[in-house]
Amino acid sequence: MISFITVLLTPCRWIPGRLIPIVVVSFLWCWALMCIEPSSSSAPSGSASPRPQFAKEPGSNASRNDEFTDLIKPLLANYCQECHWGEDAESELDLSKFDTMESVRNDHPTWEKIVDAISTDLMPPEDSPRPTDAEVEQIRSWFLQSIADNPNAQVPVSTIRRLNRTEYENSVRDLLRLRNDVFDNPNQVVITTEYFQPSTHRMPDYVLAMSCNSYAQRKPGELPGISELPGDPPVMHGFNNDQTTLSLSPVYMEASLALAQSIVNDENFPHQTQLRDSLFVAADASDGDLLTALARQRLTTFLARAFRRPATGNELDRYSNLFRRELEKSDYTQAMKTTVAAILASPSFLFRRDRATDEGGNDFARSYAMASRLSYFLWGSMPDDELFQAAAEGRLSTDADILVQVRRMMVDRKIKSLATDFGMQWLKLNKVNSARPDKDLFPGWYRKDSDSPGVSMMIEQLLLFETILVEDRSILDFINADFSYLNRSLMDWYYIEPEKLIGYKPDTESFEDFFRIQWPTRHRGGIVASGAMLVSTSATTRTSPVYRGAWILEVVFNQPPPPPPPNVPALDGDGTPGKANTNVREKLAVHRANATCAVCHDRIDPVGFALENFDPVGRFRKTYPDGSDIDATGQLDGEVYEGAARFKNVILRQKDRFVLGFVKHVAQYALGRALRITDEPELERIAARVAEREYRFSVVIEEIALSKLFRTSMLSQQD
Amino acid sequence: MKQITRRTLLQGAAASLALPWLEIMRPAKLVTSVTEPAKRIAFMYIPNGVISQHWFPGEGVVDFLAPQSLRPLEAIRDEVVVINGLNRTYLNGEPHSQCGSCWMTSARPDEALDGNTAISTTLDQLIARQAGSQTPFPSLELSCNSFVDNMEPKMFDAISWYGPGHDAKSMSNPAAVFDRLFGTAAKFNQSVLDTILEDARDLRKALGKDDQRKLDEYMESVRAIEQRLGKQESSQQNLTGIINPVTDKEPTNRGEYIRLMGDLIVMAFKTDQTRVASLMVAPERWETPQMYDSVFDRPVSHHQMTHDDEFDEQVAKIDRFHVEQFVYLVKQLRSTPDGDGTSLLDNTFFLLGSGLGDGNSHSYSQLPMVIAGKGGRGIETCRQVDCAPGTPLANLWLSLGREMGIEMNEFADSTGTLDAYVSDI
Repeated sequence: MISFITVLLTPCRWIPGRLIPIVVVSFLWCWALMCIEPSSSSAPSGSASPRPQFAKEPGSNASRNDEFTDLIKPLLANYCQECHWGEDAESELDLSKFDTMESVRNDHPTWEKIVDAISTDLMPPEDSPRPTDAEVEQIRSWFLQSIADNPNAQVPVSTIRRLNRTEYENSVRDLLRLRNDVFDNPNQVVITTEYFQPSTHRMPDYVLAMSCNSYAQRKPGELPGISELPGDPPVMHGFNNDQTTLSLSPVYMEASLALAQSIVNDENFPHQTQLRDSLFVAADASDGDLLTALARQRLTTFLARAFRRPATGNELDRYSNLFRRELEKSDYTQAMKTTVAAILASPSFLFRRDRATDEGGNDFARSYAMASRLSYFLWGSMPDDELFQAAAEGRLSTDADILVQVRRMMVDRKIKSLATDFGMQWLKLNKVNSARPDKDLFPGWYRKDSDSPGVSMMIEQLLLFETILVEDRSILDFINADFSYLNRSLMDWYYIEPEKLIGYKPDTESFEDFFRIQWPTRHRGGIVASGAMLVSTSATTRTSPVYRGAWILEVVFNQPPPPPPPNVPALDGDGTPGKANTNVREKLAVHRANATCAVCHDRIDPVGFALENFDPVGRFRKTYPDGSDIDATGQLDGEVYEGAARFKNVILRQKDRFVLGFVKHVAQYALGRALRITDEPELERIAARVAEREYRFSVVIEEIALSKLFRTSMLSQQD
Repeated sequence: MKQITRRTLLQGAAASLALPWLEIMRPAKLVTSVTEPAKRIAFMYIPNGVISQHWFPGEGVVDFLAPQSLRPLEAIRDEVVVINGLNRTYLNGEPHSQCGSCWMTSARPDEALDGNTAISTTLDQLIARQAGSQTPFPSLELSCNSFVDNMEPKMFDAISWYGPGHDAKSMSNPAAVFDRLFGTAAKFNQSVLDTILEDARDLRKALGKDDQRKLDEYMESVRAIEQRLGKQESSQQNLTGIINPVTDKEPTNRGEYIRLMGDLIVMAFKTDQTRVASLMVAPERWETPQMYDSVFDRPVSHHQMTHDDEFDEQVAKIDRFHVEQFVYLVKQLRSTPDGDGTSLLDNTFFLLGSGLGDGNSHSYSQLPMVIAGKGGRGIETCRQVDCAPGTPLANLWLSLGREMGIEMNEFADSTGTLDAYVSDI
């Protein structure tokens, strides 16, 4: 199927055949991209953008229809008629055929793209008369409202989804009730976790030296003999639990089968699993029939947890039969191990069906699906006994039911997954590990006896995230926190004198222990200008304001800039050995003199310039290495400022934009799919609720869990 | 070490009829004399394009190996064809995400099958569906992505696709590759396979269409394992003498890593574990600085350097470095006998290419392409092919697909076969 964007771009009147001027294509291309990325499609909402002018209450179909004929259709006729009207309509998009609200509803997917194209300025083309901002908003809000009114407008087409590696490993840990995290998951940076006690609602002042391995280096696990499972890449501007990234190849299947076998057969496994007596050992090992009956009874319980819903009779028969066949070859324990290995490689374990469409009207199935959705969202793992119990008793349907569970789950230690999985990916912390600062320019980065400061920088950000989570602080602390966790190693790196730090206790021996400190300067604090952010966005020898600006737009505002177009040089980056630091600002100015580049880079580069006072390894500096002065003047949406501290003030003045961006990040993670324009009213409502309630972290989580998007597992009609 | 050649394997087969699948599985098109060596094809992919002025000969340059990036090919001059002037059409999406993922795609550029890109079944997979039915592994996908958790989306890290959204997961751990090909580590329990497949069949009935497609990936994967078990067992009876090239020491630099993964492909071809392979030397748009041994004395980021013309000379050195690795592997193929007095190289199409022309400008025209080997049909080598302006890359894919036994008259946006390369001799 040909995408709408393609259709719009190819055979249009104003692009003569194949001889498309590069500049025009690139320009359109940039905007096309903005249109394609659903999460970035909305206009900044922090400024005074007009909000829906149509009543939020369900309108009568008649009045919506009148609005269409009186207001919307004339706008279309005015701006689109020249190309998209009648039988010869460009791109086979004939807008004249839309006469009634009903006709719009019947072709909802096309309209989603129309509205997307109009509201991102992709259409009408530049040389044609364009609707005013108010008119664009009129079309957008009418469309969104007509969908909101129409219960049938959204078609649930969600797909089953394979567990990603993190979910798989957490689920195996919980299913087999293992005593430790047995997987050497490179996603988990901080290995010692005793400090993390969410039920106290308080993070400690002092966090013991964490035996942190360098990120992405695998540590020997508790089950040394187990094999590897391939990791899952994230989607662009998203997460690695997205349904579109989780395909299943023969290589993956082989790895999965081998891993399942190796887990149950590992020599340490009997000591790790707390199911040893209740599942893997039988007292009376003689009578085959008795053992089979015992196994069947035990498998009933086990399968219900493995499949995250009660098993069907067929399923129970199938795995009991496997056990019986295996028992002919070996003893009870080995037969059960093989059966469990098969279950770990079975489709109902490997695939989440909690968003599947066949829940239908069955409350029972819906309840179990909701239990799984909650547990994978908050814990990155399968439901615990209490969630299963709640599902079995139908206690997961009302708002009050859900709140009880969410609040309970938020103080369970498994909530750490939100930090190590969501937080890690949101803040792109893993990228710190792939930084390779030039060894001559930054000799202190590479150390013989300890990790590079990068590992501490990642932990610093993780502890910030966990503090906001555990203490239920305002999410604005992500921008403006006046506290942090630093170890001596980082204090030295950041040129901060420990004695002057509030919170630092000098009586400790360890260089690696983390102290909760008050920042002595507002340059630092929060995610912007954090060591991790600064390092991960730099080239080997110098900073990259482009990458830093793009990081801010994506992470803070959730409005990632489109990638550079083809055939137009994007001038940035410098990875060559020994290359002296040239004036980045001047270099990029030349680049932006090119109108094609300027379209996007006028938005990106000035944002990054505000952080020029920080060098490629995250340290404050007043001059460039050649002695020249640093100009840290930045610009965001026309507002000019100098340096990181003022930059944070500017972001805080646009806090609604940050809050909506953050809500969208969390929602995308919770739903495991890209967001769409039709999700926006609900997301805007959630962001408003968060603002009403002091921007508390818990409100974001609760409101998403309670939202229609999360509970109904509806997806808009796919392309 | 005892040399295992195609001939010994096939002679053994002919004598004992121990390889029944040869007759059962072989598509009609491929039925040939049993002693005729099989055709192989391998794709070596370099990311981020190349520095054009050092890859393509300038005006009036006579010798096709004159450009500095191609000079290492001198050592195998008689084995290569350099094809200049191939193009792709770029329509939408991210330039880097498509250059690898849509390099071999069978979709037309205007078909946005996977999100916004024209990702569909790739040429190697189409070939694998035919040629691959005769070997334990229909195809082999390898990459030299040493980062344990590469966080780039998969479109940047996969050139081989079963279909839209369904990438052939490449393997990047050499030890695991060797183990998969020749080891005994993965002993799959037939009862377990039967049980989970039956479970999937049962589950499938309860699912909607979209969900069924997803579950089909699972079922096809389980079946692929089942199908391969028998074949591998019989084909591995003759594998005595295979020496594991993987040592405990992980390769620390690019050259070692690329050559090791390439060696594994040569071994897989030699022992007929597979006839189709791809090797992605690094992910597209990879920011992670890497150590290019004997080129720079410290890690550099290939992608970042491509976007600053100050570094053209350094990037050209990386291009040349990749050509050197290619030359090493061509020599390996050439020194491996393959029956009837031929070498493995004689029976192989071994390609080196990139999905971008000039990396700096993200240009989709003037793609680099070098093909070594005679493809089992005596392709004329030691020459340069200059394509007519606007010739799509898909024309080459169409020709190669047909050479490898696929009956097709068009491929993606092809306008015809690339006769200048494969014209009948």
